[in-house]
Amino acid sequence: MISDSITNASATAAPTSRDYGTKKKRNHKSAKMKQNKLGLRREQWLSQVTNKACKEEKSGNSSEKPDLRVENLDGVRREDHHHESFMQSPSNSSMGGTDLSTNFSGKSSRSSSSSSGFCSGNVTEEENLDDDDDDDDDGCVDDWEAVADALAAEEEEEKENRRLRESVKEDESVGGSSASNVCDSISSDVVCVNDAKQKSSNRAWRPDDDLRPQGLPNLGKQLSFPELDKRFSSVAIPSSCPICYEDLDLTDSSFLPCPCGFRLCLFCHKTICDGDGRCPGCRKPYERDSMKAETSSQGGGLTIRLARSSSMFCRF
Amino acid sequence: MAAVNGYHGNTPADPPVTNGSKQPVPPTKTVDSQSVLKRLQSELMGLMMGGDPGISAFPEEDNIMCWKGTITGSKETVFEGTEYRLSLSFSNDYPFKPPKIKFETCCFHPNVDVYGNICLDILQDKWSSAYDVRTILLSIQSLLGEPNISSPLNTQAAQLWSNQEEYRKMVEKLYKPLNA
Repeated sequence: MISDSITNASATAAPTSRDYGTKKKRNHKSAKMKQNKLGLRREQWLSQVTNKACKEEKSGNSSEKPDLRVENLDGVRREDHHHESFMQSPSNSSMGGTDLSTNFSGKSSRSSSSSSGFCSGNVTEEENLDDDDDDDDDGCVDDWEAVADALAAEEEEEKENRRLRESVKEDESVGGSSASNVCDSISSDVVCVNDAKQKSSNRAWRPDDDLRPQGLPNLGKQLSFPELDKRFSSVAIPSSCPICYEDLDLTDSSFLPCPCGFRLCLFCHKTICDGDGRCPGCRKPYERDSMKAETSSQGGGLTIRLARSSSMFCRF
Repeated sequence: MAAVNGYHGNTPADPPVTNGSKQPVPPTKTVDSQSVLKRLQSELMGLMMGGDPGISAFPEEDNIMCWKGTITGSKETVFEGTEYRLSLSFSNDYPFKPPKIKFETCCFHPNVDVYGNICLDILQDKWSSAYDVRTILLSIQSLLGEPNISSPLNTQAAQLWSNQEEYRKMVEKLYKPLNA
């Protein structure tokens, strides 16, 4: 089986290129559409959308890792190498080969020999591997799945063969471009689907984004304005206690303990009254005793503080 | 009897009450020291932003409760051209109690003794919590040129004050410039 697939891969080089031709046509169409739409932000989208596609297509794979969206296109390309590295472990266990093509044929033969559907079998296998491996490797599933999707209409045997060819090809020098093409097709499809319904689900629009809706408010401004307002208000109302430098609250700022007009917070006033009891502004003692007398003569119904302030206003 | 019982019942309850009153004391002290910290930090900011000529102050290495200050003698006084270093030590009661301030540089002045202690009313009974480091240093700076001869700590300086030329010579003779 393994040797069969290898020979298939080498013998049917012409069909491979033909397949790629048809595929590339499709890719070009979608890529054009996308380029019109996305322009310079293409790469950014690619990374986001590939992951989203991954999520949606898997729909229920709980092993999806949320921090995947850090990936960019370079990351996707790098996966080819990841691919090689982590694919070596199963192949080594089965046949101990180090050649790349043998690695991949070994892998695909394994997946086909597992009698389940091609796509699902592949995914589950790789999922297990992914759990052990880096986050970046998750993108590989995209590639495999995308290929599987693209070939879904084909017959089973042909599919398997092409699958093998492609995997071999991907790991050769052509691999980089083919991988990116696959990525393009995936992302453009998903863009078409997602474009309307979730434009800003993954990341907020940047202010300099071309496609940024005009109606969106500028977050930066929104954040900065309240701060400025706060500052202005605190400047406009002289609001800190000259003794402890803490902000005066409403009660404090309406508290006028001495006719000299020296204001301070209630806490500092209390501390001073517990001490020498003199106003810091004029050094005259706060008229504590007379106030006490007044409150007692009034029957003590009022709180001391109220009595103080009212008596101050009555007297002066 | 019931009253006596009630009285006796209260006496054992007293120790817990005192304990209860003791427990809140440390927190209030920490709050105090925190407010002192805030006040001193704000004062330091104000001093550094204000840029008053002739005075400066900065906390010692890692203790914001101990500052070093400098005062330059005002122009057209016998102290013109001199610079004096002072130490300022703040308590947890600051600013409700004045800081302890001493001249670290020898200062020939009627109101400064040989140990550097300063006789200044606002640092004692005329202290107000509205004063701060800046106003203290400015007050001491003005004290240099306007001593209070009536209650001198340094009688020799007080007697010599009337002869400004001689006084200036004495100041120059005794002055040790700041080094390190």
